[in-house]
Amino acid sequence: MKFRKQLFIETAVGLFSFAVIAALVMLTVVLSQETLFRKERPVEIVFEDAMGLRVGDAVNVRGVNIGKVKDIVLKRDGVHVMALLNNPLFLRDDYRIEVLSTSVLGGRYLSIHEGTPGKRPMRPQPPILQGHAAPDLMDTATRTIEDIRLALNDGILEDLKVTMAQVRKIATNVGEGVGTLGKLITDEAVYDDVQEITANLRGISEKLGRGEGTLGQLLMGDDQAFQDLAATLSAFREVSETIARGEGTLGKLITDEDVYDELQGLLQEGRAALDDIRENSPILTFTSVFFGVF
Amino acid sequence: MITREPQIFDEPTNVFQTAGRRLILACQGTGRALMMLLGAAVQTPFMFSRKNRQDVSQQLYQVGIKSLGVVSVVALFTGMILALQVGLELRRYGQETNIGMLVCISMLREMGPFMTGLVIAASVGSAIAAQMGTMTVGEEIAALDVMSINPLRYLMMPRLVALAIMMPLLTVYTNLLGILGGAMVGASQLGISWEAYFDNAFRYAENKDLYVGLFKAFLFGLIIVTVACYQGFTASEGAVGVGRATRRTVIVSFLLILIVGYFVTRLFYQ
Repeated sequence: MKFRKQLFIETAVGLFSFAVIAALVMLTVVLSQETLFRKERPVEIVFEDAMGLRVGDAVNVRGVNIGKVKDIVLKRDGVHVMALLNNPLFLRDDYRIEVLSTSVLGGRYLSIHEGTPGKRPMRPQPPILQGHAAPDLMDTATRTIEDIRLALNDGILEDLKVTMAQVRKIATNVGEGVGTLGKLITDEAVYDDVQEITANLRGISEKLGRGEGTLGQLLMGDDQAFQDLAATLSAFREVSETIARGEGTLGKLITDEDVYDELQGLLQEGRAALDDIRENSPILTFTSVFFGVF
Repeated sequence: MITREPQIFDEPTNVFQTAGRRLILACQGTGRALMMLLGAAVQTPFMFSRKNRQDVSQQLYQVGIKSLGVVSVVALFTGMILALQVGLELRRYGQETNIGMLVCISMLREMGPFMTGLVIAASVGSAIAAQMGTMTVGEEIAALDVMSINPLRYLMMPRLVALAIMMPLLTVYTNLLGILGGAMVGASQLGISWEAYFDNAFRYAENKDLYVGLFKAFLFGLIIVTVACYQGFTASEGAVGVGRATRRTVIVSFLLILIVGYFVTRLFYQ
């Protein structure tokens, strides 16, 4: 009995130990980023700046993860990044490989753009691919903020302050009832006037809409009013044409220079006669009064 | 060897004398505990003898298999809590897919060995202290000494071997269950697929994280067995002394696990 119990204990301990050691081996293999049963294609890319890329970071082609960074070595000609890919790469002449940010919180990944579909495929593929520095998100943001700060210091901030002061002044005036807008808001009489004007305009608009009055009839397409207006305009055109042709007294007056001269002479003579009468009027008045007495 | 005559001291006359005596006793205790650990360690070649082999397998069973239930629950919920707490915060930034990495690295480096250490200290360490303490106050240890049977070889060495082997193994088990717990929370509450979780979890963790964690677990095993045996072998005053030894074992083990854990982390991750 004791022997069987001891056997059970040893078996249980051995089973547990083997299971855990097997799990440990598997965990070690997984953490080593090794793939025992899958073919992987090594790729070497040289960058001028790895921009914080780390071993284990993802390698994406058109947003699809196809591998991970295996090793990063700093050499004289740049930073050599070794990546292991699960899928073959079909690069074209204008391929582009960049280190991009995963998010604003950090993290990097290797982005491979295979090139434009119409371009010539690269055969054979070079042993070392060329990577390009991508604009860093944080650097760009920092630069933009710096530009905004410089622009603000360059007078825009002062202008904004002045504008805001003016806006504040206008708001204060309006609030205190200074000016037309202020009175409109604070003075009830002005408000009533505006309301009355608005009511009147609404009345006129309604009348026009109903076709009342001449303008309303015209707007509403009243034939009689339109015909009357057309006849008036026609008669007016006829008169003006007659005048333009120099017919009639008014036409001759405007077009015939002799008539104009005669008329001017007549007016001069008339003015002279009136001056004479004005000059002789005291004498005539005195004479008529004097002889009137007798 | 293990059993000693009790030391009789005069009453301390001032604060400095009290503090000095406590310091000396602490140093004596630490030295004695370490000597016991070394004494047990040199006896490990005898673990394959017929008698000791049975004892060792018995202790392996007690420490490993009998603790599996508690360790499983603690490990699973540690991973679940980590994933939930971190995931809820990361979700505010749309980064909840990174919980795999955070849970995995936390479990491998710190939480796995730490939680296993606490569970084993509380369950196995206290049991060892109580057993040794009862034997000490019952003068069984003294009887072994009288019969020229080395208590370190007969009692401490099998427990030392069991904890030294089982602590790393239980830590691997805790790590795996913790990571699995995180995946369960990720899939059920944070909407992260199992594949995405595990891909992220194992992408950034390294073998260094795993093995430094296992080294910590090994050290924690040594700490637990040394503290428990020391407290047990130095127990006095009957049942009260056994209770005190058990309580001290848990407290001192917890403190040493925390402190040693920090310094090991500091050593490997600067």
